[in-house]
Amino acid sequence: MLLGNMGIQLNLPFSRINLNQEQLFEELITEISKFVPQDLSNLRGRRAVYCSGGRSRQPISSLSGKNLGEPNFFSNDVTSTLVVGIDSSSLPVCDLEDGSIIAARASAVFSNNGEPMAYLRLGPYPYHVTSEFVMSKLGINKESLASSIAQDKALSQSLLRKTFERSILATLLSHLSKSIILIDGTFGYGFSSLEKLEEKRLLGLARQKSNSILGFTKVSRIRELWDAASSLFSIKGAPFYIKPPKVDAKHSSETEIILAKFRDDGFVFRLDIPKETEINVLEKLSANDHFDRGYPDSLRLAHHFCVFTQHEDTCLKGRLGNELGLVEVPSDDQRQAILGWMWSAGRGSK
Amino acid sequence: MRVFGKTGNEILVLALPGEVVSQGEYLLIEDGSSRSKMVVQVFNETYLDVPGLAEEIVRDQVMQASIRGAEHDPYEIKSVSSLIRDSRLLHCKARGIIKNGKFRTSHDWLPSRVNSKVSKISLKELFDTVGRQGRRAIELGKGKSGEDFEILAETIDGRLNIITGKKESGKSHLAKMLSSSLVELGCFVFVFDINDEYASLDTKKNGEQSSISSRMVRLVPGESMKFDLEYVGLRSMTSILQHTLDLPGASLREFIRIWEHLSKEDQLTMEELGQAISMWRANDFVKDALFARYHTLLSSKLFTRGGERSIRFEDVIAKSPKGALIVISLAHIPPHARRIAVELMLSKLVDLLEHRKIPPIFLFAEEAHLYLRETHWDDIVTRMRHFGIFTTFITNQPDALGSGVYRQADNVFLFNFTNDADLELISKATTADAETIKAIVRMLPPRSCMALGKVVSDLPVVVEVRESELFTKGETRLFFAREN
Ligand SMILES: Nc1ncnc2c1ncn2[C@@H]1O[C@H](COP(=O)(O)OP(=O)(O)O)[C@@H](O)[C@H]1O
Ligand SMILES: [Mg+2]
Repeated sequence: MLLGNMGIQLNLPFSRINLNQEQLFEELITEISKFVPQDLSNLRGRRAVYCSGGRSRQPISSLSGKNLGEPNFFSNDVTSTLVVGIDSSSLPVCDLEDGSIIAARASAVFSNNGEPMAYLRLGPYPYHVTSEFVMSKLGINKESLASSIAQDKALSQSLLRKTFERSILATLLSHLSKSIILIDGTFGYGFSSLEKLEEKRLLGLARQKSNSILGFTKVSRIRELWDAASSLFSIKGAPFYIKPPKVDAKHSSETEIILAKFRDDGFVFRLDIPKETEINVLEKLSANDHFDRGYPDSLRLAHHFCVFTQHEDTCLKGRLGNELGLVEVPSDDQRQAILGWMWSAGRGSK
Repeated sequence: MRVFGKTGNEILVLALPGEVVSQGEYLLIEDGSSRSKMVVQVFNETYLDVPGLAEEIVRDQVMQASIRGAEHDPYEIKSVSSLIRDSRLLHCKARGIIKNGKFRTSHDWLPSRVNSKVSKISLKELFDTVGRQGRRAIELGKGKSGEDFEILAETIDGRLNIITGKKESGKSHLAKMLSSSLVELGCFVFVFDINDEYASLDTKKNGEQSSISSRMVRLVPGESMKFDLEYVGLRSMTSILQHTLDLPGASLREFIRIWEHLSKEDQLTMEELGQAISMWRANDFVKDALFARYHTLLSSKLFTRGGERSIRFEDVIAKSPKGALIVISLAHIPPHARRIAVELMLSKLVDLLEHRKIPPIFLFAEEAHLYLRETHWDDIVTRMRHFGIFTTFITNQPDALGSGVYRQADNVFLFNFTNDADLELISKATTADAETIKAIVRMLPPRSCMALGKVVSDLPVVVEVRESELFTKGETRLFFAREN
C-alpha cells in the first residue's frame, strides 16, 4: 500500500473556500491507484540496466538470455566497391510569425578499400518553412496536415531534413552504380503515405543501377532488439549477422531488419536492408569501409561533417541577420526562465 | 575595430583579421556622443574565445588532414567562421584622455561600447597632443607602424637613464647612437667602454671619417690617462685608499700626514711618496700597510712618473668646445686599476664641476657593476647628478643595478628579456604597469626597445632603433671570423 501508507496530514487552509478536503484526497488516491503498481516488491532481485542522464544504455549481456539462433558468419570480400555514407542535419535559426527559418546541411563521405577517400558537403541552406513551403516543397498535399506540420517546429525540422537528405540520396543513386550507400537511421519514416512512396521510389532507383542502400541504427528503441543486440555482443568473432524475429510495427514491407556485428571489438547494430539484398553486400561493405567499434567510418565522418557546431550556429545567425536585416525581438528561454535552477539541477529528457 | 569590453583597468578591443595592430601601438577611442577621446595602448593580443570554436577547429583539421572534398557553402558560413576564428582581442591599457585637444592622464571616463569608433593614432599625432619639452631632436628609430620616431635631447638632459636588455639585443648600439647624437649637439660625453667598442665611432660604415671623429678622445688608463698626485688631490686619494684599497684608519692618518708634508715641501710625486713612506717614523704595521697600498697604486700605472704628463679633463674639454666624446677604454685594464681609474675620474669630475671649471657632462657606463663600488651608486644618482654628471647605465644584468637606481631613473630603454626573473624585477622597478612590460618586453625582437619615462612623456613607446651610419660594431669576437 504505497500511497495508503503515506499518512497524509490534512490540515490545509482550505476552510475559507469551502472544500471538502478529505473527500477530495480520497478520490484522488483512488483514481491514481488504478494504474500505480501498488507493490514493486515483486521486482526484487531482477536484473536491470540503469539509465544514465535520461538515456537508455546498451547492456553487455542479454537480460532475457533468449537465444536468437546461430550467428551467420560471413567473410570480407575485397572486391573494390564504393561505399558512401550520407548524413544530414538541420538547425532552427529563428522563428517568424508564419514559420521558421531552418538551415539544413548534408554530407557524403566516400570510402573504398577500407579507407575514406573524399567527401562532399552541401550547405548550410536556410529555408523559410511555412505551410505553403511544406505543401509545395516537402510534398504534403493535404492543407490541414501541411499547416499542422508547419505549426510544429520539431516536425517541420525533421521533415525538412529528411526531404533534403532524400533528394541528395536520389541524385547520388542515379550517378552511382554497384555501390553501397549507408544512411543513418531506419527506412520506416512513416508519418505519411507519401514517405512510403518515397521509400519505394528510392529503393527502385537503387535497384536500377545495382546500388544497395543500408540503414544503420545506433541504438534500437525496440526492446527486443535492444536485448538481442546484447546477447550477440558477447559472441566471439566477426563479422556475422542474425535475423531477429519481426518486431518493428512501423517497419516497411520492402525492407527487413538484421542485426550485424562487423568487428570483434565492435557493437551490434541494427541494419535495415532491402529484402533482395545479398549477403555479398555485407561482405563487400566489411572490406571496403573502415570500421571503428563496429560502426562504418563513412557514416561517422558524414555525421561529424554535417552537424552544426555551436560556433556555426552563431555565424549563421549573424550572417542571416546581417544579410536580411532581421530585427531581433527580445526573447527569453522560457524553459530556463520558468524552471530555473530546479531544471538545471535535474536531468530529465529534453 | 570595436570596443568589446572592459575587465579591470583593461580595455578590450575587437580587431578583424584585416585590421593589423601590434603590441605597443596606440589606439584612439572616439565616442560620437562625447567630446572626450580615450588613448589606449595595446599590450597584448589573444584570439577570441568563442564557444564551440575548438570543436570546429578540430573538425576542420580532421577534414583537411584525412580526405579531400568539395563543398557548396552559398552563405559562406565557413568564411564568416574563419573571420571570427582569426579575429583578435586587443588587450589595451588606458593611458589617458584627450578632451578639447588636451591630453590628461586620467581614466575616469568610459567610452560607449556601441557608439565608439576605434582607430590607430600615430606617434606624431599622439605626441603633438601630449606635448613634449624641447627642440633638439634625436632620431631614435621607427615606431611599430613604421613611422619615424624621435626623442628630444632635453628629456635626457639632467636625467638618469637606464638601457637594459639581454645580450646582443642592441643596447650598446643605442648607447652609441645617443652618445654620438649628444656630441653632435655639442655635449660632452664620457663613456666607460668595457669592451673597447666605442672607438670605432670615429669611422662611418663606408670607411670615411665620421662627423664626430675630430671631437673624439680615447683615453686608456695607465697609458694615455695618467694623473699627477697634485691633480688628484688629497680628498680623492684618501677616498681611494679608504674605499678601494681598504686602508685602516690609523694608517690613513699617517698617510695624510705624509701627503701634507710632501705638499708643503712641493715634492708631491710618486717617487717622493715612496721615499717618504720608507723614511717615515711610524710603527712597522702601519708602514707595511702603507707600502702595500703604495705598490698597488704604482702597479696601476695610473700615476705619472719621471716627467710624464698628467691628464687634465678641463683641458680635454676646452680643446673641443663644440662637444666631445671621451672614451675611457677599460677593456684591457686589470680590475683593481679599473676601479681606481674610475673612482679618480669621477671624483675629479665632481671637483671640476663643483668649481665650475667644466660644463655638465653626460656619462655612459657600460656594465658599471664591473668597476663601480657599492657606495658609488647612490652617489651617482644623487650627489653627482646634482653637480652635473648625467649618467646612462647600460647593462644586461638588471639585478646588478641597485634598486635605488631604478627608483631614481627618469628614462628606461628596455630591450628584450625572456628570463622571468629579469622581467619580474624590471616590471617592479619601473613606472609603467607590470602587465604591459611583461607582455611587450617578452615579445620584443632584437634592435627594438620600449622607451619609458620622460623621453616619451610617460607613454611607453615601442621603437625599432634605427641603424647608424657610424660604425657600431658590437663587442663579440668570434673565433672563425679571423679567417675573413
Ligand atoms: N638598430 C640596429 N641597427 C643595426 N644594427 C644593430 C642595431 N642594434 C644592434 N645592432 C647590431 O647588433 C649587434 C649587437 O648589438 P649590441 O648593441 O652590441 O648588443 P648589446 O650591447 O645589447 O649586447 C651589433 O653588431 C650591432 O651593431
Ligand atoms: Mg653591449
